[in-house]
Amino acid sequence: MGSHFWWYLSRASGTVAFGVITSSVAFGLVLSTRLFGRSVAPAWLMEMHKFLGILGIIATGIHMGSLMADNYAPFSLADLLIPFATHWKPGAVAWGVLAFWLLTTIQISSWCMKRMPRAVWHAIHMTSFVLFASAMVHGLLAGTEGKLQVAKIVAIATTMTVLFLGVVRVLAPRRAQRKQTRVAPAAATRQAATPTREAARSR
Amino acid sequence: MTKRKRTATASKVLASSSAIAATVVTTGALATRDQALANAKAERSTVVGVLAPQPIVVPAAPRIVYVHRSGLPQSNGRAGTRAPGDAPNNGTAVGPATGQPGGGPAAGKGALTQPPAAGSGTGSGGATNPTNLGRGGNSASPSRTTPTTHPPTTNGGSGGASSTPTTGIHVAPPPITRPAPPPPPPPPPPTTSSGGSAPK
Repeated sequence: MGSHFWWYLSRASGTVAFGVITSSVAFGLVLSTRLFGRSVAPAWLMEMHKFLGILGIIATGIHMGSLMADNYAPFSLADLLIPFATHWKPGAVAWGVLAFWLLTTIQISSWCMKRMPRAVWHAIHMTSFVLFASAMVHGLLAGTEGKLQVAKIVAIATTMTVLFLGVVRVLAPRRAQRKQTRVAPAAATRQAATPTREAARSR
Repeated sequence: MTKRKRTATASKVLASSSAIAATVVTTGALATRDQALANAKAERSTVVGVLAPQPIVVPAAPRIVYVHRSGLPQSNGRAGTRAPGDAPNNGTAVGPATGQPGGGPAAGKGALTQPPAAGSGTGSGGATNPTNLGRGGNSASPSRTTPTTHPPTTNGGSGGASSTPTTGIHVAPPPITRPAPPPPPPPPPPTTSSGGSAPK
């Protein structure tokens, strides 16, 4: 490994970061769609969704730190934080910079969810689809392994999974509608079972 | 700790350790793969090495050997030689034998940038015997600068006969006689019949 340790570590951590972020997105979609019903505890899904988000940030931090430590393709902090600032594949790296900023924004907004309007948090959270897409494009264009057949297969498989869950999320009835459909029959039943005050007075 | 919290903690530990293991394994795999690729590349470059320059072989101009009547091979491009049929030794030729010059330049096809070598052979010696014709000189050798595909130049024409009658006394040379064709094979001996025996 020798002098190229940081280069190999940056590539490996980037691959792991993409896998962790994809898992976090998938857990969040499974949680919101209730795809598995009661067989999987929603609380566990929520815990894992949050934890994988943090793990994704850690892996991304290792990825960027090892890129700065490596001297094979030297990157400065500005190269990693500003799109098109680097001279090494600026377009491909820009996708990674965009993914990093989206990941950071989504994570911070999730930590501050109770202090901000839910609509704003939800709008920010929806950009996780853009985060997933930009991370994948960054991996395919900038990554040394992007030209491998297995990388293309993984990219297609993850895209299909996230796309399927997104379609289910869009087509599934929303939580408010589910509450309404759940509450309305129960209220009707209660009303039928217990006589109202007016009816009692009239008696 | 409730069961739910234990499950969540175990899942987090599992996810963290999986991520760390994946990072370590992927790092090692990438290093091994790159090392193998580098070794393979170095091996290829060692085996192949530098190709030795191949000598440029320029084929020589076609050398067509003409067989003279006298049986001696006569190569193309040489000066014309005297043809057979010179004055016989027992005759004394008085007048100079002025044969006509040899044929014109050879009409060979030269390269586009190099005209074909003009034939410049001159006939050298018409024989005093008008029956024999001197042979014209061959055309000059093709230029060395002409491409290798230069076709062979044609020979010059044959020399003319002597125009001036000779005053010397000469004896007509013996006529050229072509060698008679080989006699036909003798007919097979007649088959002896199995008749009676020879008389004693």
